[in-house]
Amino acid sequence: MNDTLSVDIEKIKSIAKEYFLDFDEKKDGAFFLEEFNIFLHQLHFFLNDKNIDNYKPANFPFKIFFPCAYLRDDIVEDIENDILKNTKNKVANQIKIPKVI
Amino acid sequence: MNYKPTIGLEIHVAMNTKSKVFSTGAVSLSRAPNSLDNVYDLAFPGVLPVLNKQVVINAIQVCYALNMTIDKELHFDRKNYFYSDLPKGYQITQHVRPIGINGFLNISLKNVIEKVEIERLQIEEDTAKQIHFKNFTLVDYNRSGVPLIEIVTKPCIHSVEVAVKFIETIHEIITFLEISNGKMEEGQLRCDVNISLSGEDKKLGNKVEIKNINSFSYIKDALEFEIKRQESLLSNGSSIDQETRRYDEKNKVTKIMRKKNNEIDYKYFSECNIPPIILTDNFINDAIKSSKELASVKRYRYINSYNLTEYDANLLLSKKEISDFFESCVKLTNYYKDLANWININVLSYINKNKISFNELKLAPNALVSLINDIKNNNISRNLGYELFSYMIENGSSLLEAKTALHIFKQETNEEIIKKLVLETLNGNMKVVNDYLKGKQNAVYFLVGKTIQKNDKINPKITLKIMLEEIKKIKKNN
Amino acid sequence: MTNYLSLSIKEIHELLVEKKITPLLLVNEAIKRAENNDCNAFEYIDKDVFEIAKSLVEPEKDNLLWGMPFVIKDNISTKNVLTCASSNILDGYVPIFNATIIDKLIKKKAIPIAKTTMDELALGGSGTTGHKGATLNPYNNEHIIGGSSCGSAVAVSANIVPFSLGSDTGDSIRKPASYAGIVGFKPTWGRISRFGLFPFANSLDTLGFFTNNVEDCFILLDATTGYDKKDSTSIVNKIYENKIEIDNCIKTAAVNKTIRIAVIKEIIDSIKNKSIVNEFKNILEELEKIGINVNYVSIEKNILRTIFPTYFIISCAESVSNNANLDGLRFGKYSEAVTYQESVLKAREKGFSKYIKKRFIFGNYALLKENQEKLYLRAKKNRNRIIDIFNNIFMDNDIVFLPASPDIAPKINSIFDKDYFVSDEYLIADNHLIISNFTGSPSITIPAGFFDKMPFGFNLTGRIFEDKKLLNIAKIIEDIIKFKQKAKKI
Repeated sequence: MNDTLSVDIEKIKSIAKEYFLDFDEKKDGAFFLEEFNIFLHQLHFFLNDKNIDNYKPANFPFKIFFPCAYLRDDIVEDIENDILKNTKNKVANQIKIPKVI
Repeated sequence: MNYKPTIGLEIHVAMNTKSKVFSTGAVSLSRAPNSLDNVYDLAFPGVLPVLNKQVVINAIQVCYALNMTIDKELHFDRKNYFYSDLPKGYQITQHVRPIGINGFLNISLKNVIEKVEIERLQIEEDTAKQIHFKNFTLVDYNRSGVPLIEIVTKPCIHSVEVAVKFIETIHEIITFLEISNGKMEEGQLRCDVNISLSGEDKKLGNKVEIKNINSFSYIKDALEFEIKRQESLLSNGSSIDQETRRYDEKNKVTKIMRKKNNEIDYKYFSECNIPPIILTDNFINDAIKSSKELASVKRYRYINSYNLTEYDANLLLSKKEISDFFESCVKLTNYYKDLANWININVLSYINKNKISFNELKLAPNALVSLINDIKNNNISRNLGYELFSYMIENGSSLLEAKTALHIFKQETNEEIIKKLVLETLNGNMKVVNDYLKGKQNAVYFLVGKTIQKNDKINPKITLKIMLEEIKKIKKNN
Repeated sequence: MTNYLSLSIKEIHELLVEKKITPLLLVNEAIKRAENNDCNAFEYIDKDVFEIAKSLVEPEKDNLLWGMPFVIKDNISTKNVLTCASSNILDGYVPIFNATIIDKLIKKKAIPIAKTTMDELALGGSGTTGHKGATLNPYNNEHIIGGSSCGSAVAVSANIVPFSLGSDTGDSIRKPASYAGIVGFKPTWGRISRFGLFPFANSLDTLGFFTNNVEDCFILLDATTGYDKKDSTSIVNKIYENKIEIDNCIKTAAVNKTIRIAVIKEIIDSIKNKSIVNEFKNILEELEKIGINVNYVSIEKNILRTIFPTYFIISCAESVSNNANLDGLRFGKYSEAVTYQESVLKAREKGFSKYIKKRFIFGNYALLKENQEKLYLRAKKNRNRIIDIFNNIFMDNDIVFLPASPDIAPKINSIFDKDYFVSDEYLIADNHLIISNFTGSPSITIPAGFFDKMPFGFNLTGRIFEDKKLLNIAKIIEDIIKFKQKAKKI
């Protein structure tokens, strides 16, 4: 039930951090907590509906398959000359990033 | 107390297709950084993965060689995590339904055959290449998206020998199928090893993972060291921590990389940009049929059809380039044993001495074959053959060109001159003549050889003929 | 002076062919109107297109899109044109490739003049979360226009261009269309290549259009659908080729005789604005008069209430993965730091608004090992159930017909209390459009009427790959509604 799905600000912060997201706890902490609790509230009917478990998960909206006849041939194409055009931080045509831990 | 090691292997093989697994970027080792990239490889917003047919074909071929059950539907999943070499923030792999499952390889060691069970073979994409400096890192996306297959064994290997032989066999399979160049030094074959020890209670201890071992010899050393390390810890009453280690080749020890405390949650879910791909029976069968011949099949043929020894066969099969060369020659001659010897002894020692790769060899198959034929037909002596060989392999010349260069073209066929030398030999070797007359047939070849030593341009065939005639005369006179 | 840009594509085309107007004139006018528009609808207006417009001299009689100006939602990749999906993290990003849909339209000589504002990276439905702030409704600037394709909705509603591109993952074309009094069309999933569309939730994302009338949608559908080797899911065009062929042959006259319309009782009952309900029922009566069957069908309220949470779980979870490439390193806004990890953390902290962060956090939560089974996977199971229910409805009915929104566009400073978000009005009436994203069905909102001088629309959803049949039926209803007359009165 809903009770097992509660969160506190610590949990929200740790989930965010794992996803390389940070936020100002003082400024937005209450916002995230409140919004999160609304979502959990909205889940009520979804969580309690037993009939859902009779179905298999749908990955696509309808039956779709890809015939092997259409598989891409092993050809090199569309190599971009200015692939690093949008990168300001580069050295010797490589992306330069701060040191990786 | 005796500890039994249980080893599981995770092997990554980088394919040598022209384009990448999910993009049309190019696959190539030695090119300028970021010169092979397609927009997919840098994960710009809006790019989509498109599977490469050749990757599927190659994977099917390996699955077949590993006796695996091939899934007729291809499904892909996302493995989500952040790292600087992973541009999308996820890797497309096959977590739930790998293309191959439940395979095995029979590894033969001395007189024992060990069956190594293979759990799965999956298609996935490689990460970018990074060079780490003190304060920054450079990233090259040429390698990002290169096709990989990951082969995972069941934890069913119980000796270092079997583990090493298994990896060598995988190397043999992928190079003979020509789906990968298999160079460990260049990361085309990567091996991660899991080891745990169990004592008399048969309970499996914590497993330690050793990552990024990049040469065959290091695998053996790393495994042996790790087993000793774990044994000594266990004998002292300590327990083994579950951790990831790496092999320090300089100091020949394994070193800790990180503790495996918190398993990373990769949040796997189904890749919705790639619908399930239906592999028809025809597609799978065609892929298998178009496989290049496996070393194991060649080995059988070399031993049974060409009557080579296992030793000879194994030397020829130690590298695909050598067996390719051998087979090019085999098309042109039936002197299999001689061919094997010339390649295994003379060609290989030349290559080793000059430290070149087989592909840099200038000697052409038909050149070697014509030399061997000439020797077998007694048109030239063996010694002359060695001289010619040295010239030919050094200069990449044909037999004719070598003969011309060494002024050997003109053989001495004048029977008067040869007869004079034969008589000289007979006079100086009467004991051998008597041996021959008493029934030792081979003695005549000794005499022919002695004669050629006096003038190596004389025709061996004619020399033999005259030798036999003269010996007949001696017999008559006696 | 006639605003040619308020005409239909067909009408504009005729004038171009007769050389009464030129592409340059259209583009001039469109850009002027875009620049003067005060609804905050544009990210970037491309002045370089004057050269292109000038170069189009000889009209192509059979090419209805020749010289036609249009605008593009900013989550669609445009080569050499700034594209940022209304997010700071993509500040300064200039793609080096076009989305396939853009290539196709450019090939037809249509002229893209601007990129439009949206909810940040499409994760929103209000049109207020983009980095430039709220986009406003041209009918009344005190109201929003919905989202996430807010800017593109403004562009057609304010008669800046005759058509615009949007994307629809939960209702992001069809809801703003209702709020903007225009047509918003989402074709069958997979028919238009998604190559170049910034992904939100791949199995729900669909490119589509805003137009002034249903007729124009036929033209755009034909110009943009088809198998694209760069998008493996567009294979549907091949494997459902027969269905598409049959659909291509449907003519309006033939359609009349077989139309069966389904109306979902519980959704109507959840709408509080009785004027909208009454208007809807009036139209139903008119439809019955011309021989169309109207059937009230029932779906349990408890099931309908699960639609929004299911959508939210799936879309937030997948958006987390789809946006993990945004770190400022290869493109977008780079953040200086000592370590890579700090740089990425900083870039994403500053680059994303709190509105999108909240969705990412929830999405991650739904994907956590301990939660995946009961949230993410279960949501996909529920999706399957709802697809099943809808397929059943489509056994005896050709389309599902419902009000697109339970009310007119909210005012910009509307505050909704917590109870609203778990009410039936929100969960059922305001979010039922999601169903056709679950099923991949073609779906279209057509403008229906006015309330308090603000427009609202009705929505039709058809069977998969029966896009043209849907459009034909929509045309019939459009003719009955006579929205343009209603608009003149306002």
